[in-house]
Amino acid sequence: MNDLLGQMVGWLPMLGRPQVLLQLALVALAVAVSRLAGHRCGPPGRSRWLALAATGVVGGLGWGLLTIARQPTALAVLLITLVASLQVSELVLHRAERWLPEDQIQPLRHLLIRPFLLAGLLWTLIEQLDTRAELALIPLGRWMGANVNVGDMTRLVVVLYLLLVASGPPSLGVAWLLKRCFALERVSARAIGLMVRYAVISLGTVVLLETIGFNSTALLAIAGGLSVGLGFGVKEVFGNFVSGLWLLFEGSLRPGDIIALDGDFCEVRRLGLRATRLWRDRDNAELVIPNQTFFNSSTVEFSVGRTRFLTQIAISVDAGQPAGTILALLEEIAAAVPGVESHPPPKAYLQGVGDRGGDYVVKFWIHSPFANRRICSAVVAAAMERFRELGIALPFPRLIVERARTEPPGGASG
Amino acid sequence: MNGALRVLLLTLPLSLLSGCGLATEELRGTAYLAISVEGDQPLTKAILQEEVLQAQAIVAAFRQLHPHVAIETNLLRESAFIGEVRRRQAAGFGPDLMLVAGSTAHALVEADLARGLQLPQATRRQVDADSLQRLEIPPRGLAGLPILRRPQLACYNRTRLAASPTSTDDLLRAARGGLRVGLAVESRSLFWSTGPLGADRAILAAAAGRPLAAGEREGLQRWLAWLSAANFNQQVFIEPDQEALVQGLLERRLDWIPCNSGSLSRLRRSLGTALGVSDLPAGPYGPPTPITRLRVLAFGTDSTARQRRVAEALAVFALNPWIQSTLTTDNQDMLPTNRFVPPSALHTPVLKAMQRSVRQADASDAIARLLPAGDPRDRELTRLVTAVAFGEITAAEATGDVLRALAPRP
Repeated sequence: MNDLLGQMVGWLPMLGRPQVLLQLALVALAVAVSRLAGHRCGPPGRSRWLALAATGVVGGLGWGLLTIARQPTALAVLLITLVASLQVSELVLHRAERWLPEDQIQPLRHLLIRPFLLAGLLWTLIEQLDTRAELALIPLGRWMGANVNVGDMTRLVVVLYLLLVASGPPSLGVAWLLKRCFALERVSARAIGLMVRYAVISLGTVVLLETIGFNSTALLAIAGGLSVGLGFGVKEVFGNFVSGLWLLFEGSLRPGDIIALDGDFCEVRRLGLRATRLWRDRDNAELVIPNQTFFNSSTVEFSVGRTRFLTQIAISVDAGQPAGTILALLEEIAAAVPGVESHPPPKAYLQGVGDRGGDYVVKFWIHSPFANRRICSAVVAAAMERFRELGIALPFPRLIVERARTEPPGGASG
Repeated sequence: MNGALRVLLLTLPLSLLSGCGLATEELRGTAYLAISVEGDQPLTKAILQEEVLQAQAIVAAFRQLHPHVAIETNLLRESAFIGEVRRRQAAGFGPDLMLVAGSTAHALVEADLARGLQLPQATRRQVDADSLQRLEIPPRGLAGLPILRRPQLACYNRTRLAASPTSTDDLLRAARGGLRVGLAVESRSLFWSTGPLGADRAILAAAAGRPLAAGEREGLQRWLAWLSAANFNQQVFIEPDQEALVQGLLERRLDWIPCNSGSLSRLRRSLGTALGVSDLPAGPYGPPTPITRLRVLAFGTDSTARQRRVAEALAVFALNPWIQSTLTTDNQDMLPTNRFVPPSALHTPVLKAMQRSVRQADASDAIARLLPAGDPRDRELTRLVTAVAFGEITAAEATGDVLRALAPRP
């Protein structure tokens, strides 16, 4: 490690050369002018275009002047190309916001475009300042029976990064093919994709470590240690991870499903590997629920496309009214409320006679559990209105306070 | 005016330093030293150590004298050296010093990637005359400062062979007797065998664009036929490059190889006293024509004044008889270029073999100049030699092709 640091520190005096400083000054000027141009103009799209144009103009002019003065320009060209590439990528991402959701734009920016541009810059700069093949031979230490050098470590990081970042789309492709070939209708393609992806990442990592020369016994020992660690320290995380995979593979919970959680209906927005993201209708809140919750407790679920919900209201009517008339009336009232399904039609029942009169229940279907509160309220309101028009009393508890008549003690004797 | 200023800038400190031996002002700063590596084989730790061994020894001794100086070393392929330096200079990152082959130093100065060097007479007198002559670029002076010489030798395993064969016929006879001989198809590794078979003059004439005499053409065909015959021997192993030969001897798969003295430290570490070193076999048509790799310090053009001072001081220090003598006797894998290294420092069998090899190297020095590393003609010659060695084409067919391949390009 000291060798590598020493080598990198050794590059610094190179930056003190006048011809290098001149190029760095040009790049700084181009960046400053482009930022100034970007900030002075209103809408984001236009300001980005202006910033890019400013970079191009200042960079081009600077390059021309340096060339006329017979000064080196390759470093300035490299850095200005990087700045311009970043600006172009921002422009493309700005356009992409129209058809790509925000949660996909950010990973694209931070996991793919910027790391790749930065890696490209480092790769080129190192080749200008040093020799990659020579740098690769700098030893970092002896780990797990292997003499690891900078080249091995770079290979490890790059391949792991590529496996993690770039294995997604090919894995989904393989999943789609598998699903088509084996007609796996119930299992979601995303679940198979994830399984394929994690298999690729695991196998790739093992093969890479073997190629570098890591001792397989040591790798097994680490795997054993990790198992113990999983058992104690991170068992919740691991449990949620396995639950997430299982949920995906089983297909019992999918985005768009509606579930009842603690009496509230929520829509499944995203099924993650550790937790599931839900949207609660009542207060427009997003809930992050660990996946294990769905394994440890029973869940009421309405799948996408099968969200029809049988609900009911209870109402008490004067016991002196004929039950048949009230039952027919209640069914008619419920059927007339918008949002109540006509097939099967609402059905009313007399449950018994209580303190307040006859206790009736009307059961009816609605299209979504999310409409339950609103439609139930509309049915009760319609019933109250209709009964008031027909002069049918709706009994409700009343509190009558009577003052006891008290006579003075003298009056009683006379 | 500019050129005169450059000459003045370079000669002044050199003359001062060579005259006084010590700088009056404390040297500080970092200088960048690019070291060329021959061959196209992947860089390994062993090759890296072999290439930077002498440079590191010089730098370590120099830093004892100037503790505030740092020298950053960088390895570059000899065949891609010019392109690499050009690319770095385009960014302002060109090296201050370059330890390269003599032919590369020539090319660097001709491409304005290195400064020509005017040595003061006192310094000039110290340097071996042949080496200086190889580096002359009129009117710019010298392409660089010659620091060390690495002659080509015969390296063998003494547990399998008491003494190296003295002729090419003996070599093939020994191979028929079970000696595992390694030859590389790289032209630079194989050129030693052109002299014993009378092909050296033909190659020189073809590379220089001169018409060939009938005898010279026959010599070339004889050499190619010898290569073809060698391959028919089951005990002669044709390898793609010099590094493969060294690996073969290190792993004891081969018993005899032509080797460069630069590999001796590595071979010695592995084989110990079993390593035999001798001059290469002669032949019926003359002595061997080994190639001596002259290592030269060339001066970059991107340096600041401080970096230039450090680079020049290091170059002068590397020429110092004391450091040259120490490097020679300690490592026994190079010959000094300073004529004032005491003869007692060169009195070992290995160093004597190297001196004999250097004396035999006149013809091959010319070929190294005519076909510098990375020259497309050199690659073409290697390709044709490979085809002959593996029996794809006959020696008679290849003769014309070799002559056409070596003809100077317009």
